[in-house]
Amino acid sequence: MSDEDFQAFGFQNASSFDYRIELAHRISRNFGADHLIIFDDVALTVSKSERATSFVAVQGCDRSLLPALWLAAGFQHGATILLYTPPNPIELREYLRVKHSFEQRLKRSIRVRMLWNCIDVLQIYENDVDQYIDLCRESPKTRKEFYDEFHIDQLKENLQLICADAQRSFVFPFETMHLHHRALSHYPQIVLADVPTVDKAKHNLLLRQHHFTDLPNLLVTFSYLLFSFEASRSSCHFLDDIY
Amino acid sequence: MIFIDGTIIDDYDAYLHAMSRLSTTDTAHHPENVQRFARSIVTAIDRMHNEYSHEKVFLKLDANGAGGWSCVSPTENPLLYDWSQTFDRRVDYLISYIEKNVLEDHLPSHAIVEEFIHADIRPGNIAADYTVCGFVLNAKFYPTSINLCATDSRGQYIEQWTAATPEQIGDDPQIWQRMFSTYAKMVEIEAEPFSYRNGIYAGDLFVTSDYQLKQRDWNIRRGGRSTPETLIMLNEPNYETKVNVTIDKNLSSENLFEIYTNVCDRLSRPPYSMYPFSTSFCYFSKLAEPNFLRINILINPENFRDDNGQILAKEKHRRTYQEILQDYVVDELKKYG
Repeated sequence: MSDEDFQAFGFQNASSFDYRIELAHRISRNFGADHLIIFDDVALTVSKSERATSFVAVQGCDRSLLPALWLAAGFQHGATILLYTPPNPIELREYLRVKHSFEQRLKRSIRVRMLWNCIDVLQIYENDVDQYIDLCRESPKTRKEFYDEFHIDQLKENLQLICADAQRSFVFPFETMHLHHRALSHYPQIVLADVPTVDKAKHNLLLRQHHFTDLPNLLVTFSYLLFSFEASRSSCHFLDDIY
Repeated sequence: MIFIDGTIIDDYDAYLHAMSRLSTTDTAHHPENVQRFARSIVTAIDRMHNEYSHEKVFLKLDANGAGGWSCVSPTENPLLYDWSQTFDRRVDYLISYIEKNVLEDHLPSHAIVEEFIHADIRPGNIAADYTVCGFVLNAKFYPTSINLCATDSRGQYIEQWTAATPEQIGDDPQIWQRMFSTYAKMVEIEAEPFSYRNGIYAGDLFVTSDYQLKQRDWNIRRGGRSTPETLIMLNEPNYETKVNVTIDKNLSSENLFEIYTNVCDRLSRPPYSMYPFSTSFCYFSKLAEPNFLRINILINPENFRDDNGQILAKEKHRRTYQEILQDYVVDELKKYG
């Protein structure tokens, strides 16, 4: 299917199982990768101010598991999730239920590894639930101290183990940042997505310049003085600009 | 265009020019800069109201911020938008807001004052606030989901509905097509100037009561909707929320882990068959005082019926699940005397 036709199909069937699996394959091909590495390094996006209030336990936030599942189906060597702590055993029980549904539908298995302290904890759970529960109970003592760049460092320190027999891994953090590119892009076996623009003002103003109209009207206020050579002209003409 | 105040702009070229002049000394968090910033913002708020004739406006204190204190909502901060108050009084309010909430060494480089969007009200008294998600490959947008979100009075997301098809949440298929189409166009426009050709794409838009789309937020990260959007691949809708339960007893981390596990176990079984996720919170219940359990859940709304066998109305979901969880926690706590 051509890109245009596939996109048109996606418009009508964004949640379709077959469409998503094909999308996962296209993601893999697009990045030239045969393996996905995924992790929720959410702390990197949470400011000091937010840390004090709504995000008090940011190291407990990890929502990478289910997205890894459907994306893994598109990569020859599946996906490896890097975790800060092992998920609660109930979550893994429910996860495996969904995984088996997906595999039944696909008629093949999906390779997902969940690495915590370099151990595949999903495999431990599948082999022996009680052993997994013990591991969880012990984890507050055995886990490493948390810091914002934990996941990136885990990847760098255990690159060989994580990449295993894959030729090229697409690394998919919570939000791709310049920090990830600086830390990882020189490894030939790693490929990253582009760094997105998070500035809402930049998006709105660029789109407006391109006559995009599905936008709210807005003004941008800078916290510092701008070079105002246009100021005297603007005071006469701003009314013209509005209408 | 740069307005005569010297700090307010409304076009892209002026923006690029302004960003090229950004220096960290100018944005250092000290009283002079806070004062100037606050005065400029209130000036912009007045311009939007007076010259652009927007009855209501909304301040985002940091154009780069992901939420929280950055959303200075009119509901929570009426004084700031009360034009019967003096300019100086409103500036003072904003100065104290900044001092209270901005803990960094630097102020945001720029804030946004935008028209307040009146979203259509969907069944269940939910504002038509949608997240649209997909993947960009080679500068082309491939959709993955649309989610209907609800926020609290501060503008923080507290719950969302995700469906495999628009019909599952009572939406017109045409609206979904328009949303995806808008995103495809946006991605195309932005690809070259923003060097964004490959990666995830997600944002937030409102649908107004006269069926206009207002694209207002860009959250280009994996985010909270990637979990629900996986489950819709099994063709079922789901409702997502997180419930915080306060624990008044002083228990150990181990005990709290046991309680968390047992509560999730009960929730995941029939009749609710909930999917608990992001459960690593189970180890961190003691990070706040009083201690708390934070449980993120997904449930197929069809699994919950009221006494008449009807599917629960949208506005009742959150409180209902809060109560169920609370009851289960209370049961568990009985084991600890």
